[in-house]
Amino acid sequence: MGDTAPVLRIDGLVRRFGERTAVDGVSFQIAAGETYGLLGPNGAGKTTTISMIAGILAADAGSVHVHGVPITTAANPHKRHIGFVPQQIALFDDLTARENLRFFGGLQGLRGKALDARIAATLDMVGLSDRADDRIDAFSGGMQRRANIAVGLLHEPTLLILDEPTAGVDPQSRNQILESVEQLGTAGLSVLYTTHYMEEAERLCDRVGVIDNGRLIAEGTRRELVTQIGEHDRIVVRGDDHLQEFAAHVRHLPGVVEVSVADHSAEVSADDGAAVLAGVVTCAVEVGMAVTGVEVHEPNLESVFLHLTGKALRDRAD
Amino acid sequence: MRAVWLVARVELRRRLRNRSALFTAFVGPLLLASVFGILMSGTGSFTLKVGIVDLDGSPVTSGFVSGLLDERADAAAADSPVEFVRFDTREDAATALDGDDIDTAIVLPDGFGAAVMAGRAATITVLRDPSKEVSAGVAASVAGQYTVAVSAQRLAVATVTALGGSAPTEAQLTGMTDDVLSAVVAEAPGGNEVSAATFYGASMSILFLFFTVAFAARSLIVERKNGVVPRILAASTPASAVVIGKVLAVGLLGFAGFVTVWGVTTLAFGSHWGDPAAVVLTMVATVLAVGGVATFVCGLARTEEQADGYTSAVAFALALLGGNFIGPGQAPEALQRTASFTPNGHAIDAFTRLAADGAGVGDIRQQLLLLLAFAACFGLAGLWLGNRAVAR
Repeated sequence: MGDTAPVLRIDGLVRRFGERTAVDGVSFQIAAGETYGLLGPNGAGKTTTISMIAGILAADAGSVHVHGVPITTAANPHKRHIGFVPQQIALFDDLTARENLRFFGGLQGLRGKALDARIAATLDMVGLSDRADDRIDAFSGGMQRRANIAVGLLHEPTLLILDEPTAGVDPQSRNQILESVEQLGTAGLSVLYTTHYMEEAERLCDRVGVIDNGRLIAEGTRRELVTQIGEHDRIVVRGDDHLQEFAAHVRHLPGVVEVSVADHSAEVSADDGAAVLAGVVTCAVEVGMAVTGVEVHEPNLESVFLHLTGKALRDRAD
Repeated sequence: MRAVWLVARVELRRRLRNRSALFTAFVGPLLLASVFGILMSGTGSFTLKVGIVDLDGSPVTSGFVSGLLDERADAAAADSPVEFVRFDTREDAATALDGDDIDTAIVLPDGFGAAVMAGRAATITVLRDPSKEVSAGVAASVAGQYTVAVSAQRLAVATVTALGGSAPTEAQLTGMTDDVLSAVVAEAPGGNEVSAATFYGASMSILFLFFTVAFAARSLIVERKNGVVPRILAASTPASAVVIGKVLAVGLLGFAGFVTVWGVTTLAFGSHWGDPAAVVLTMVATVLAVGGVATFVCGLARTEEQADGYTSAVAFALALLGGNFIGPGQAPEALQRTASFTPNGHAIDAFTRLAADGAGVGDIRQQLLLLLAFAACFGLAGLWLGNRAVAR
């Protein structure tokens, strides 16, 4: 995360609804240009957490700071550093995309030519320039999602909060959205991305916080999380001859944790599969093994979530 | 302030695109005002046909009767809403009443003049049709005033005679009725009547104003659910700006609807609403008062269905209690009392005074202040409820 002050810092955030504690002491930080994924099943507390970060829901305890300035539900000009993209299509569906952007841009203090220029740029960014003057209710689900994101980007925030932006969209639109988020991260925007799709978190996020039952139960890069739970990469080498000899040799390679042999393959466990792959293949060639295939399996966040909570992400993600 | 304007502008744009909102603000009140205006156009100009039977024939009664018949016939009285018809017998008058040829009849009994001059009690009979209480009331009032006038004259004559003066001449006895004849004209309703189109134009505008304002409250509930309001709040917009902006937009729409009804009824029906400045002020005060009440009522609702239900119930209850469905001067006394507890009643009262009496702003000061009081009390409470709902 570097030495620079975090763009977002939340400490001990708590929110209760009656007897139920929806968010229970959540803390994390996001650095400039970092994409942080909040991964958890539906009902884990993701939306409640980001509602408090966006200043639209009061916290019962804890604090939110954006660029070092506390954010609460009170009106605060520093909220303009935040671009908020809720899970719902929070747009006036009887207005056009341009009219929606003009309204929300106006609320963010943009006006005149600067507003016009930002509207054009944002529509271009989300690929809706040619549909700018169509009403939102005439858009497909994916286009509505993109328009929803455009409003969050319009005023050039330094922190973009995306709450499950791909929920319920077709694969093509989903991919388009993910590409946009990747570009934003590359461009230096800090992004807080909530999802219950493990593959989205793996693809987009520099770091991931795993949240369940309102608690942040693990945090780090994918590699760090995998290491935390003791999972290893697996390299499966398929072939028929010299399998035992191959196993004996490869076991001594640095980084190899374990080797097991089956009828027509050998499985090599390693801390970093990519790092030892070349050595493994060289070993196979040296022992005269007729290699028919090599596969590298990295443990994913699904495995991490399963390990940490004893349940699969998708089981509870309806 | 900018946020209020932005919210109001976008709300207004959306309402103008929404056909149901346009119907509620413009078409609905105009349509009903037109329908009522056409259907009720005859009832606004009150006319009364009174039979008169003089069984006495004395100078005291004949002067009165001929005065009524002759003077009603002159040009000045040609537009009078009251017409008198002589009958020779009580039976003839009763037959005419049964046949709906007249609305009521006054019977001056034999010996009436002698009894009056002798200071004895004398009775005038009013024949009435049970279905025409107002007509009978007017006739009874005419008869009553005649009796009072005759008694006063008799007392004056007795006094003069007692002091040694001469007895009254026949002309003097006949002249006793002059005051009564003037009173008849003053008693008859309809001299400065409010046209049905004016009355129902105002009253239907008030009724529909509730539904127009309710659009704002309903949209707040919907947009809180679909995430638009939270997103607006995330842009550092105060909750009060959202509520005020929406109410401002529908208030402007409601006012525009009011002005449209005013213009159309004036052009199409020749309605006279009165002093334009006072009319505009009354419309503004009414929009504020009704807006306040509707905002408060909708502020109590948690769902769209509740908002619709509460608005309809309150709008129609206040319209009924406020006398919005009953023409001017026709409301029973109890209803006139309940009207004073409603913004509708005060608004209608103000509009009626402006149209009927040629009143100005100063004459309807009390009504305007009461409307503003409604606006302040309910409006502030409504804004508080709205803020709470938005921030929830």
